[in-house]
Amino acid sequence: MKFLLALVLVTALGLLAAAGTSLLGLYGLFAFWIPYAAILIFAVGMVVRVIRWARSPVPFRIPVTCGQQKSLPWIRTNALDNPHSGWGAVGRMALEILLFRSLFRNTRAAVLPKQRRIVFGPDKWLWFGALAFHWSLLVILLRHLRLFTAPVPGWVVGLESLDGFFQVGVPVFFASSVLFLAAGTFLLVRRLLSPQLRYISILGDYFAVVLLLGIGSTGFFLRHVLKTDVSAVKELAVGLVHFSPVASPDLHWLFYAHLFLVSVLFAYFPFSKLVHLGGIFLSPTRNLVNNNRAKRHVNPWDTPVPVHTYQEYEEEFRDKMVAAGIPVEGK
Amino acid sequence: MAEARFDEMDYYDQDELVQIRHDPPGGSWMDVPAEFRPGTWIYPAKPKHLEYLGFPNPRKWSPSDEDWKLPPNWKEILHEGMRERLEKYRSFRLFMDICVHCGACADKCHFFLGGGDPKNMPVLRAELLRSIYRKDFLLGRMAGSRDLKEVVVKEWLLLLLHCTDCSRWSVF
Repeated sequence: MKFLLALVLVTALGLLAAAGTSLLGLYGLFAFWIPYAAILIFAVGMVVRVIRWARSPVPFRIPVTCGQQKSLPWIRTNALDNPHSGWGAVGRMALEILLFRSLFRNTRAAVLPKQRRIVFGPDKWLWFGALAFHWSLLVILLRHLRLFTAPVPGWVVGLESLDGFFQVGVPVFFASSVLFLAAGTFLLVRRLLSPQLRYISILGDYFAVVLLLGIGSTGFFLRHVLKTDVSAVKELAVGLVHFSPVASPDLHWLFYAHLFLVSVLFAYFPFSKLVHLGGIFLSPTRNLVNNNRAKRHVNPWDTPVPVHTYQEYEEEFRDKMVAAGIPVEGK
Repeated sequence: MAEARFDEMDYYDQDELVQIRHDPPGGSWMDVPAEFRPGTWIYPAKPKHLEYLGFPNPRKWSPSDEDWKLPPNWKEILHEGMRERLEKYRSFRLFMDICVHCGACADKCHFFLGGGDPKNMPVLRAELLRSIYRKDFLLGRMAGSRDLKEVVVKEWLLLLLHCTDCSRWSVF
């Protein structure tokens, strides 16, 4: 149900842009006003979110880990999973962000009738699908720089030729486009098929992945089926960067749908779970050095705690203690 | 032979334990009220002990009662408590915000694996709070949010106290 609603929402948004441009002729609105507004909302929204996180302190070191902490010299420590130095924490974060290292551990639990007990097995599919999805999205984003820059930087050209290494089709199919659509579909289907995931999913979960798939598939369609006029797109994109955009009525409505969905994604970003882009860097369970035993950490508020001393305790219960034969200090 | 109590092994049918289902039912978890079966909740402290310690709202009650005799401003107390903790702990605010519901933690909690209550999936146990957080601290009425009602408090007491803070879910 929520998935269907998300699908209807994304389709309606795409059609809105198509109708707004080809029927109503609002080219300026969809070509630059909405994208500019979306970027502004994204930038301000993300800064506000990060500031709000950063303003809450981290009173204690709370890394969650499966590795041995540094203690005595003859106990072997796991410097990467349980870092005791800044560089260890950097390495742990890098592996987490670039390779989703902790998710690689993922297991699946099931009660098998034959064994008559619960059994655990490795489950790498989520790790693989998520990794493929995020990396291909990054490559696709970087590839789009060719539209916004003139001259195109060498590394973008290099990335593009690497991405189109297999040289299949004209124009060449990029590995990242195919991988992105496949991995996104996998994540969506996984969410739809697993009863546990369906139970925990909210509209936002479906909307985010359907929106990303909508952007991916319109982009794929533009490149390989419609073979859009790339020079006109580039003119608009370079114009956007230099704040002198010119909207072209010659561009296909599907292009405007693509651009509008991207704008929606950017504007939606700071209000959704997609803020994990910034949040992962601030995660206290991952980015802290585990030195609780080596260093004393005092929480910033350090509230004075009313103490009930032993003297006060004995004062209160002395009669009972004496009656029970418990030794007392005073009398 | 006397009937076995819930804290004795014979109370549980061994074959039944194998048949624990980990697939939640259809529908929304928000429509399922907390069920206080004997042995699944912690007994409240007696009024005299609370009074001695100076703790608020000492009263004689049990979680299985219909009326919990909450103080009249209980909503305000909970709201303030949540706000204070959001400002004190980055982990709380951050993890209220960035969970993507990937479901990797779902089958990691030993209470979920051993009991089968879908609200004991770590993600859903956090969602009990997150649904209120979305409403009161984020954007107001939106998908996945709900009002703070007495059923929510009952759910919190039952489900949040099932947790032993082992954090196993968080290492995956």
